[in-house]
Amino acid sequence: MQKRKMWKATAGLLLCALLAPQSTYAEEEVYIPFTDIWSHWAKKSIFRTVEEGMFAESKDGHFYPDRLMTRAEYLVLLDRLFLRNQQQLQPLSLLSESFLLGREDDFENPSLPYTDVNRLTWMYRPILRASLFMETLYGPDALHQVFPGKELQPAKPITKGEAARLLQVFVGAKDNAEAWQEITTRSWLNGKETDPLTRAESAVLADQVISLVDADGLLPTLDVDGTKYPLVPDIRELFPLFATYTEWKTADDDAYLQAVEAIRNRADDEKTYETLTRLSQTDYPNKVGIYYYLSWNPNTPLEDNLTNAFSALDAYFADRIVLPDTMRLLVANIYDIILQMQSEDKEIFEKTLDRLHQYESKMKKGTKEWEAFSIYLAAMEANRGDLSRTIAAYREVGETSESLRNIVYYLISQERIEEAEQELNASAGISNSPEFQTLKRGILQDLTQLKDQDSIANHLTFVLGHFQQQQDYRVEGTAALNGFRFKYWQDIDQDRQVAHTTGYYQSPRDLVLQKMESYVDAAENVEYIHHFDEQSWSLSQTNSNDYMHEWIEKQSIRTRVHELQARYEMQSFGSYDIITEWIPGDAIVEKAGTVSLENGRVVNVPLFINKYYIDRVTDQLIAHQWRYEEIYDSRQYVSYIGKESYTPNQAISIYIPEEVRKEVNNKR
Amino acid sequence: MIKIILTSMLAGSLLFSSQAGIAAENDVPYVEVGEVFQLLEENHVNKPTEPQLVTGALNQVGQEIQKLNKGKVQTDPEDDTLPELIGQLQEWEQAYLLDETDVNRWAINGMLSTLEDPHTVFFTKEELQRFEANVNNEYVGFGFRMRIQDAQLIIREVFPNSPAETAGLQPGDHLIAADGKDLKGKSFEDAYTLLQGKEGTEAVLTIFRPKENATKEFKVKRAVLSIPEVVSKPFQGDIGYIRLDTFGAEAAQEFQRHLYALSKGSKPVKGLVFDLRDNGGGYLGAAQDIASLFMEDGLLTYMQDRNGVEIARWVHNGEEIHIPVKILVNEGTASASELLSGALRDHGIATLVGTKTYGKGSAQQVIDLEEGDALKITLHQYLTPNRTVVNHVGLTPDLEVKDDIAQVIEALRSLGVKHFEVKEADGDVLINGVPFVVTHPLFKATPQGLMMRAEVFKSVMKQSEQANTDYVLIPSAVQSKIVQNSGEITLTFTDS
Repeated sequence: MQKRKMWKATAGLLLCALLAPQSTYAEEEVYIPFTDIWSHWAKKSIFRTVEEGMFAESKDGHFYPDRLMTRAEYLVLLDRLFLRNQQQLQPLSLLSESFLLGREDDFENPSLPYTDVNRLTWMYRPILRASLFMETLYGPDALHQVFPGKELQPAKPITKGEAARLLQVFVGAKDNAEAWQEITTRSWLNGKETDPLTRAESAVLADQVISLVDADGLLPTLDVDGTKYPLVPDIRELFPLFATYTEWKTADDDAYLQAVEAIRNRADDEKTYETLTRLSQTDYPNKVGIYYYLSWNPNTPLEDNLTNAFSALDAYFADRIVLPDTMRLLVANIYDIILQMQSEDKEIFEKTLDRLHQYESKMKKGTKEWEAFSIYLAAMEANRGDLSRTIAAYREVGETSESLRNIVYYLISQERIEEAEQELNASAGISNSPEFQTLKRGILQDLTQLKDQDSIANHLTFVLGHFQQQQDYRVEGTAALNGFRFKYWQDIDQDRQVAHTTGYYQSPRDLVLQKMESYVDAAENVEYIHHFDEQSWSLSQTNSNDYMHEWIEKQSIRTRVHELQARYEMQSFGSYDIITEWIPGDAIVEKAGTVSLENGRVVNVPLFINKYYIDRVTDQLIAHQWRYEEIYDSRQYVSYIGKESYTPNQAISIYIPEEVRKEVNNKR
Repeated sequence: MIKIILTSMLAGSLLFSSQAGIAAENDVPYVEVGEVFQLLEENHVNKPTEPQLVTGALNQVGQEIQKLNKGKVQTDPEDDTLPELIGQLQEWEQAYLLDETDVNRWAINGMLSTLEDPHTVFFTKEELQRFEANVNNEYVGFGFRMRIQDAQLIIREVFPNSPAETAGLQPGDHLIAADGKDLKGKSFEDAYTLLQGKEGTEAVLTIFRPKENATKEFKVKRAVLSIPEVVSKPFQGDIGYIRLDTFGAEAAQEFQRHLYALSKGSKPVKGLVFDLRDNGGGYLGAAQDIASLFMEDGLLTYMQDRNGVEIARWVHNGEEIHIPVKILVNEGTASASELLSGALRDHGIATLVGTKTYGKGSAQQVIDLEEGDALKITLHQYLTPNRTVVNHVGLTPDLEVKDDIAQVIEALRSLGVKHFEVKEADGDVLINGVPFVVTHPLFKATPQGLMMRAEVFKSVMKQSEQANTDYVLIPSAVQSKIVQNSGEITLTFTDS
């Protein structure tokens, strides 16, 4: 009996190692429906991009790799690249539903500025969508900057230079010239900018873009919604067996395996956990598995789950076999549980760290097992909030890609940019893989922009100041606020400090649009609001703020940098400079304590992004886009997305109509 | 400096939204009555009031109860709120042992009857399916088209791959009976009632086939038939003909295909006759897409709602047509057809030939209701780009022609056509090679001689006075232009 158990345990050891997730790319059998690429130099890229859906099925079985890529074909490919990577592009595009772009309704009337792309053709929707996506990234009329004139000439071959410009956002280039440089330096393309692009070459470009995004090469050190850092390893297999099982299973084995199946398929119920509890009270050998799965019980308090998670860890050490992947999963499990406990127990990270430090003597530093363990300790330190301890903890992990990334991130958050750069430069020994090189390059680009923060902030300050001092202007805007959609026009009379707003909105409860109109008297801090239903006007005070974003909007750039940790990035594209501003939610929440709002106190800010579009010649602010998401202590969730464009307009004169003033004063 | 932030106003409008809604809880009586009431009162373009809708509902239900001989009902004239209505409906349901579904429908139809808007309609689930199918030119039927001639129902077209074709019915067959019920002398509506049925059901059709002088019986199934929304053919010469039956889901793609065949084929046409007669409308998006085949960029229409909000809808990224266009219109041209015609005319792309259009200048939306039924509700009125009102008025044609055959002749004439061949054969009339369905014949053989439709004769002779009879005897001068050949009568003439 004893011997048999021992044998099982040994076998378990062997198979557990084999259960570790393997990389499956590159050598797999893939069905590719093309007959003309088997010996082509770009074969791998073509395989990969076809699998990713970047190219449509062929009608005749050919890919035509050496045929020249037309402008229309490339723009459709670009649209697919934007769609595929919309999640990672969100900090720059503000959009999480770009597949909805290009719809026509009462608020949007999108079109292409060309006479030779017709709306009833296959290419229309993808090109329209790509052009709108580009407008958010690069400014108004972005596609026109690359292909000027009244005609797109969709069937004309695209040049390598044009193709590179259109990928500017992916390669983190600051302007058009840099885009070409980046692409050639990375050897994505060679030749001259004026050379035409072949379909095979476009497949290589798409392949490289996808690899770059998947390797986190796009703004790697930006944590736009506060959930990315601390970075922890990506674990694929969440439901391993922790032992090996053969045909000769005991009744207990069957019971355990069924329980695991149930949990894996989300079909677990009370019986599942009763079984596991029963097994835990016997001498069933797979204690690691039993306690790990008991910790998944959704009906027991988190404290109990944490206890079971630690029991699994104890059982692991009791087995005295070093299995880094198992260690990683067990500690990740503990981490996951305490993340859920933190709202109830602010000290949970400290307590858990204390407990986990006890296990350190059981491991050898510098091993894979140690890395797997300590990366989570460092993550807990990060959650705890002491940045220097955090960085020290990551140094304890050893030289891995994850520890490097976290160290760089936490150094940056303390504005220790030079040190971050040194870390990066000293990291050559970590890996030679192309993914790691891509990541490093992305981090380096971030660091370059970060060193530039002051100058970008100054530029933005100048532009906004210039804008506010100018004479009158007109605003045209669309916005969405919690399911309401708005379209409005505003005339701003700077001399009299008065504004007149007209427009319409759609309530989510109505089928038809409602009119809206108001006058703002900034000198008196009041707003006159027109109620069309009742045909009356009412007065409202404007010197108080309802929402946090209203308060932030009134702060200078300097304040945002120094007190809200605002971060900036600047790009140029054609005639425009684009400055993107990200403000971390934590900084806003912290500040919220000192700001009084009508709406209560903000407790979480998942997203706070502004984009400013500036004419490079006149330094004129042309447009502004934003996306704010705020959660208040009243449980109210506010989602506010919009865009405005500005036109200077000589001599706007606005007088608040006498009848309106009278009516409102009579009511007081 | 003013940086105007809208959120104060936006916050204000958030407050307006928290009106008491009709909660769709379990066991709420007359849920759909409440839903329809709210939808109408808050959104309908005519701004109906609560007392108006409530009174309408009570009156209608009262009448229905009386019809069932359940006695005279008393309605309280003071009842003018929704809760009072619901209360009264519940009382009646109990007192008269009525079915809730029936009362629900009566009350809703009562509300709708006060709107003076025939286009706001309550649909059951099946009725909605049938409505949508019609917009897409889909019908459940045997697969043939009929016409009436001399009080006979005659099959004029059998659709390919239809049950009718499979069973062996042929064009020219006279319909005698359906399942033994007599079809002779029936109108289209009555015939439809006898012939229609659910998909999958069968009927025995009795027909008389003149060319075999035999009466036959066929057992035919009813199936879903998708009839093409677009038909086209080039006229003899260099003018094209294209007819659109409805603005359905496939309309734009089909229209483009047909238009390109005419305008970009081996013999591109130099003018277009676009037939929108009896096209009752359809999807606004289809109209917009089809408009984009005539112009590059341009205003399509103004849409106005009850709150005075006006939205301009544009056509962008279209394609200019470059040839003159004549649109055939009649009193059956409605809604999206009027919107499209009005837009093309205002842009100088087309002129209208025929008679005044229907006058439906409104747009509806279909809203699903809680119990599976639906409400088609008028939300918008539209105007043409030049702000011409269509609603209740209709579009006046540029060239007024009353007769349906004369309409085609005049349209061709205005496109510069001088040579005409008009042939009547097998009950169809072909003008320069393109067939048209007619409900009454062009030529009539009488003891006095051959007669033809007076309006068409006038058109042929380029006379402008009103005809005072339906048919005229063809004078001998014109007889020479007529050839009669085994049942076909062809009139050939050239304008001087």
